[in-house]
Amino acid sequence: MKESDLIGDKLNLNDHQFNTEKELPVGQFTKNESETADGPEVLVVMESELESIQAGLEKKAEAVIKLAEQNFATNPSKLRKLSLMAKQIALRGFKVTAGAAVLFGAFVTADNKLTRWEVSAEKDPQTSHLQYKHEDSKTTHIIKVLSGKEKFDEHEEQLLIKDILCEDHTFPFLQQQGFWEGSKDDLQNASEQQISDILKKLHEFRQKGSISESAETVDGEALQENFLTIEPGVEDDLVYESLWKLMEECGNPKIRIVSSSEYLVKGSSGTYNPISNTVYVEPTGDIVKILLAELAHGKQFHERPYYYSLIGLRDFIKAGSSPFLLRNMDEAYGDLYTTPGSIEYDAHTVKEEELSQGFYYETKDGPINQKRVKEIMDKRTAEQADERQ
Amino acid sequence: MTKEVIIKAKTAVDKIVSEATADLYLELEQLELDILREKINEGE
Repeated sequence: MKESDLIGDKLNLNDHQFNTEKELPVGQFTKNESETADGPEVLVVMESELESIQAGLEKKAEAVIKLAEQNFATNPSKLRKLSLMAKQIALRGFKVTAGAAVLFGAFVTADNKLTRWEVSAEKDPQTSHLQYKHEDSKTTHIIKVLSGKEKFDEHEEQLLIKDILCEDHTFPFLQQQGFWEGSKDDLQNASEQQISDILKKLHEFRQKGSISESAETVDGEALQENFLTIEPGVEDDLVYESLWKLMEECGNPKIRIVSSSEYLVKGSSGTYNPISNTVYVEPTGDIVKILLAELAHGKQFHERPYYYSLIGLRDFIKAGSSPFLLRNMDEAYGDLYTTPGSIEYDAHTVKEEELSQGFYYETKDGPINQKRVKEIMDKRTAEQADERQ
Repeated sequence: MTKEVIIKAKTAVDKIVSEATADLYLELEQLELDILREKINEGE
């Protein structure tokens, strides 16, 4: 099978009645969490099936290589040739399964009427400022938090802190130091007091100067008091307006603050899921900055869903084929950030830059950004002083 | 998008994948046979 078959001949859209206009008259469906779960649910099933198919092919290829090793151990060039042939067949299998996954994802994504969330705006009679309301109430709340208009309540904070403490790079450290003796599940069910004790111990640990790599991202006090980088009580209309303007430009995605590796790609602080049109942001570091970076992907899929689905397909296959060429997939995918024309380069070097420039220019006179500028200047001054010493 | 449309799309993609991977299995089996045949020939 040729790669072009994945995109062309064999998937005859008319045969399978993919005419979504016919299937989906405008206004005949409402969007909520339960209804939109259909697409992602099928994707999970599909992911598992494709993984299993690919695993089967790799197992078969390994068996062939083993057979070759048993029979041609004394003929290295023959053995190398046969191993390479088996690996190449498995690699073609990977291209088929990865291509199918992204093709299906592209289909669901490109018809993203499913995930184009509505945002309404009403004038506040008291302040005469506009109040925006995303169809997803959590997103409305998060934008308000990011612009200082609301705060995460204690329950939300506790959940986020628990997620951070349960992360793979943090949890073993807690156990190693004796800060927590139970399991991750126990930690998720821990009381407020228990969490507060852990945070206190983490802070003391940092204060003693016992900084290790695994503890670097976790300072209990900073986590509790400042982990959202929002100064309580600082309200910024400019940030609020600009964020909503950006949201509209980027297809009004849902936003979720998460720490769980279930949503975030290893080593990343944010992810964009084009299937559900959702931005996932880790609650550490500068959330607005991470949000801007991931909104850039939202902008891509909002403006040209088919084009970027296909670019994503191409990049994914390119990076995915690397393990067979003895390269690490994360490293290969990482190369995309510096490769002009790739989905990541376009998002983070071109679009993110445009979005950031616009956002920071528009909000430069607001209190939150003035505070940020001051923090950056103070940090630079401190670094320069350290260097002089 | 209705669930039916998603299922239809999945069925179509399943068909492509199963045809393509069946071909790849055959190629691997053929390679396996070639190895055995070559070994037998060497023995003779």
